[in-house]
Amino acid sequence: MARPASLRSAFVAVLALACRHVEPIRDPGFTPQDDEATLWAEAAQIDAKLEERGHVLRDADVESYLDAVASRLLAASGTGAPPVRVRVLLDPYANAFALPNGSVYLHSGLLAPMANEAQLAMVLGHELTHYTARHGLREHRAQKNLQKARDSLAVTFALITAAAAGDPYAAMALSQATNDLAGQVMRIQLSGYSRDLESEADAQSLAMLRAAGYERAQAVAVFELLLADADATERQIPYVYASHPRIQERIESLNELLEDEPPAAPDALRIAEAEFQQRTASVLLADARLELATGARVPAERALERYVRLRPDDAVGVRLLAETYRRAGPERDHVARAARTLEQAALLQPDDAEIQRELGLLYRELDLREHARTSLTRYLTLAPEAADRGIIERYVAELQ
Amino acid sequence: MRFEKSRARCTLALLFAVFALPARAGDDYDPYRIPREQFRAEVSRVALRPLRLPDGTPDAERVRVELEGLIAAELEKRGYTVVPSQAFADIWRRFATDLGGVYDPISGMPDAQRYVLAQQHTVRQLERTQNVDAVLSASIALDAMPAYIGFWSWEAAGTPIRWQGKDLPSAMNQQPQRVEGPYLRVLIHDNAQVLLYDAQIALAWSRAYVGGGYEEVPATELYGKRERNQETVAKLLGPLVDRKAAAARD
Repeated sequence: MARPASLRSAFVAVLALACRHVEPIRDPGFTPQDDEATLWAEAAQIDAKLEERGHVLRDADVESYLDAVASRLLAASGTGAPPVRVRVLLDPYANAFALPNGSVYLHSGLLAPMANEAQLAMVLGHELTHYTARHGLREHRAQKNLQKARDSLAVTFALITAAAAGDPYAAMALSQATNDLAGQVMRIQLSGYSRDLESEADAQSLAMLRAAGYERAQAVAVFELLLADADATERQIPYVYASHPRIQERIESLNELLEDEPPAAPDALRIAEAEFQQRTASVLLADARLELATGARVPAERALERYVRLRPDDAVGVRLLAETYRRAGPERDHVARAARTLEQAALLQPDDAEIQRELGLLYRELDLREHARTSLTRYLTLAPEAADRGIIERYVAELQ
Repeated sequence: MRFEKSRARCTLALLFAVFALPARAGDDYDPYRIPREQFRAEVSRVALRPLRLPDGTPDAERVRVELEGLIAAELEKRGYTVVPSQAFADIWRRFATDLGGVYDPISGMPDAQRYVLAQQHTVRQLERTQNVDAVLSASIALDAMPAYIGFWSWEAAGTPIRWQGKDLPSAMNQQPQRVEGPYLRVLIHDNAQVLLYDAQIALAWSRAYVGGGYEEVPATELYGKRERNQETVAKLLGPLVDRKAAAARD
């Protein structure tokens, strides 16, 4: 009785490996297969939830720019796949993912450190490959088949044990133990499998960059940037775009791929730095807010300095930058830098009560009594009903 | 047959021990909300906020002073400079008065806007006058102790549950269905109110439902054992970056 079950286990395992290959999406009118349609429906639910819960950056200009870059890559690759939808997910950790239905999400923490469109194209090309090559479906089928193999393996061992010991309790316990062992084997296989898919996506992305005329050196540059970012923030994030060893691995494999490629055509040098910076500036502001909320002042400061260079007239960004400088510590240099920056915000929005209040408090910390009194008095004039009026009035009196 | 059954039970027990115990040990709680290195770089001078105790705690002032003292000692042992809770309390009181009171005199609930403002101004003042990097807020609240598979976390309190003079569990039919106790919780926030560290641990068990009724520890005995309080605080702040050791390594 045990022998056929063992054979069945082996057969299912072989079947699991054999089912890995599926045809890529090539037709604009592509319709998913039955099990794939279920995955697409689940993906649509995820899309709706992310929108509903406010995790997606609402910025039509950023969205249209990202969609345009994705379309450019898809058109150049000649896959004929239907257009995708690219969105920015408000998350400070570097990551990106593609859902089986063609929804691509880039974390704000991934976009923020990027320098140009060619770098964005590398990441987008990678995610688009997951979609067009139907990696979601392949992984889903592989997992399903391996689950069957795992179940059969556990049952086989349980039956062998039960037969040998004549004890159903022991058989049950050993079946569970074997199941855990099978789970571990499966995880190792899946982890290797996922790496294959990641490498395939990197190789395809490089091909897309070449076809779309982007400078391919940026493919490595983006991972070097992410590596520096991962090291600077010391975050232990298991994401493929945020884990030091995995990024390092990808840099090495990309360098190998680039060595094997023919030299780029003279016109294949699109980097589009200025356009990228301008079109995605709002991502910097959104990401800085998230970074500050998690106490990550340094990446927030970096993002805000870039944002203010791009949008010097946006008082919101200038004010947040001043706040970031102030958070560096109570030392005079930090406070003075915060005050200088906030003065720019006050020039942009002279009637903003909160700016005057903060400016007054900073001057007070710097012992610039006259300036402090002027700003705090102005705050009280602009916000006569302020809840902290009592405290501010006391400060003003002390500054006399 | 009898031998076979007991062998099967032994196998089950062994498998349970093999699979359940490492799972518990592997689930170590990490109280940090930011990377440890960032914590080490940013926090060296910590202001204590007065410890909050449940209403009606007997001898509350003595308990507060003792536990705050233990917390301060544990921080100092690891190289932090501690600003006693009196500094926070004085500044808070002054700002609360300026704001016209922070708590509703009838319901006792805080006014959200005024509370935040009092907090902001107090921390800012502490930063300005005492160079404080972070504020540690400790509180005690009564809560039920969760059970894991086959384990009760009252072990964390360091004292066995006693029922009719015996330690529990002494038999399968004497398993308490619910155990409650005071939890000591520590939160460390930076000056911008970002949570940096969050940990809590049961100080003792105060009430257990067993044998169809409640077995209770008198409230006066809950916080009386200094050694146990010290051990609890040491466990609570154990994962905190040891600045002295780190400085010696550097």
